[in-house]
Amino acid sequence: MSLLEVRDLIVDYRRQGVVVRAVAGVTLSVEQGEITGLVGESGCGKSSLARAIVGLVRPTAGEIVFDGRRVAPLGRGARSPHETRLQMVFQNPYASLNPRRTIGSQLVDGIRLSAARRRQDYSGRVAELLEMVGIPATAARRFPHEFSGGQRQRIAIARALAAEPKLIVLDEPLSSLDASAQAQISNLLVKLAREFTVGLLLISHDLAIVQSIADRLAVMYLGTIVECGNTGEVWADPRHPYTEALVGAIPSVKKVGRLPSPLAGEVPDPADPPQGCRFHPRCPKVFDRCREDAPELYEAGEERYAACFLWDRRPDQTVSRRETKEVA
Amino acid sequence: MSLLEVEGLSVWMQAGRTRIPIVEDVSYAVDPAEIFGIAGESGSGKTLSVLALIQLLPRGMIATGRARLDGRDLLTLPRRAMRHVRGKEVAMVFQDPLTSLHPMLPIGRQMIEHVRIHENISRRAARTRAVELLTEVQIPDPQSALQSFPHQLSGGMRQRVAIASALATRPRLLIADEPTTALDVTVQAGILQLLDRLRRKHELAVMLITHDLGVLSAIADAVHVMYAGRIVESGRAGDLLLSPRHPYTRALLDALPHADDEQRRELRAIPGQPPQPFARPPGCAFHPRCPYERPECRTDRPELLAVDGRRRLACHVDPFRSLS
Repeated sequence: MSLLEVRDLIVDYRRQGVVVRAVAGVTLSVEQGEITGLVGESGCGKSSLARAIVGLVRPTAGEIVFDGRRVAPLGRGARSPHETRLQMVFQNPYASLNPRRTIGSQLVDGIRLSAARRRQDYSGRVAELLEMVGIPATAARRFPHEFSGGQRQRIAIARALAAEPKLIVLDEPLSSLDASAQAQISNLLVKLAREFTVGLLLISHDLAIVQSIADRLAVMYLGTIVECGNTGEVWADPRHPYTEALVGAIPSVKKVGRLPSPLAGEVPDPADPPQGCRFHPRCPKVFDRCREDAPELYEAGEERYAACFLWDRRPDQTVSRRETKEVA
Repeated sequence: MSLLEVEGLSVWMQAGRTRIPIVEDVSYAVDPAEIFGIAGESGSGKTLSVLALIQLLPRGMIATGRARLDGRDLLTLPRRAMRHVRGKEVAMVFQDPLTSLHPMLPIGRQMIEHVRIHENISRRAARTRAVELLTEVQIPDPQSALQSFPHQLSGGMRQRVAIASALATRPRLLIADEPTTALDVTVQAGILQLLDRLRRKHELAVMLITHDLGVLSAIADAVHVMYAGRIVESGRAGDLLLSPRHPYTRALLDALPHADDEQRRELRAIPGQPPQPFARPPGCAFHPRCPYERPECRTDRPELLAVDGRRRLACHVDPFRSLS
């Protein structure tokens, strides 16, 4: 049983009477001590998925099971001790830390939630947490504005750690930081997963950085997961045309003078998604079946899945497979 | 012949009776049709060094030095004359077009107004030009795009509109400050291709400011790396990125995840923080974070000197000399 299991999750928002399906049936799992990366372009629903997982938005349908128990949407009451072991870190550490309270007192909030409720030695634990994220213990008496963006993000991570979480959901934790600060936080995340066996769900639009630290990778497009598998394999040999386009669009310092290839078209409006495969209007390998049926996640190698008819190996689909080859 | 020649440009912040240098003694030349890259972390002065050129520094800051565009010094140009240069000969594109486009006016009206401020042409002719430009930047259905408001367009489309608008007066220099930072990679790739096409077609020089060395590698001809207000290394993009010689350039590259690395490695973060402008260390500003630091680095500031070809380097140690 995985630490986190998300099954057929659907999240709808109402926008002027129109239902927008931000997450359209996502199944995903995160293991203890592992980093699962979730990547996708802006508007693909990855943040809605993150918020639903921690209970910040109420899912329309589907199940979120954390450590064997269902996660209830956040209500007015305090979260159960079980649910406090599921924590979240947000994109902007300038907004997520309280500017008027010291770092120490914000960490103590988290410590109070943790298993050792009657802990007396708060300041000792605060120092320990700060040290874990590489911030001097003297920071406890200081305020958020005294720190740089990268340091604040580390403090935000320390605050999540204060509750002794088993799982941390991180929504774009690196995107407001410089390369060097990104590298520091990335290394910290790897350490958390390896040394403290915390499960991490790392959500980002920056494929390069996720690729460098995630163990498993899930690629999201317009509310659905289109490909998942071992990070190295997905990266080296993408099975879904969207993943391929995403990987091909990343500029690399080693490819001097080579312009990355753009992906034609725009992400469609989630209120009015295309029929059939949601990626078909932009897909370079589109064929007839894609316009009519929606693909499910098919097995595309060992422990690899792709939501693309090119990988539909069921015997009754021989016709479309032949067509596919011609197109490809 | 260079389009823009900058010599000894410094930007100062006036703090009471003292002046604190933010950008120090920056010199370079930009050629027509060149994509001129400026890289550096936030706070390195890369944006201010360029805003100084068009007299758009925030209140309380002043620029010294020289910046010649066709023999005219932009820094001492009277404000009225600058208004004709800025937006006409030198155009700008910023990170988030939502802040540079007016949110309550249709984009057609903004583009037409922009053209008519700088050129004495009819509304109809300006409108025709706007449609041509939107077509050139590959906006589907430019006629209807003219009627739309900025918020109705996607981020990538907005940036295309901002570029089209900047090009409306046929400038010779385009300053693009982090133009693709807020965009997804698939959209970024489209904007980079567009910039590359425009400079080839119109001989447009582009000053591209970004913290993303991958972007510069893809498109820039020259790269200038800034640290604590100074250029520490510059050169052709390929030379500089594939065989960096300044320890800071090297460290920046080492901090990046390499998508095409076969084996995963730990990312190497640069220890410490970049210094604040009022607390820049003496000598080489990078010395407290530099693994190759020597005694003279703490006291003597290294000059930016030509080392070979187009490479310039400000380092006493030059630890990677043999590698390049």
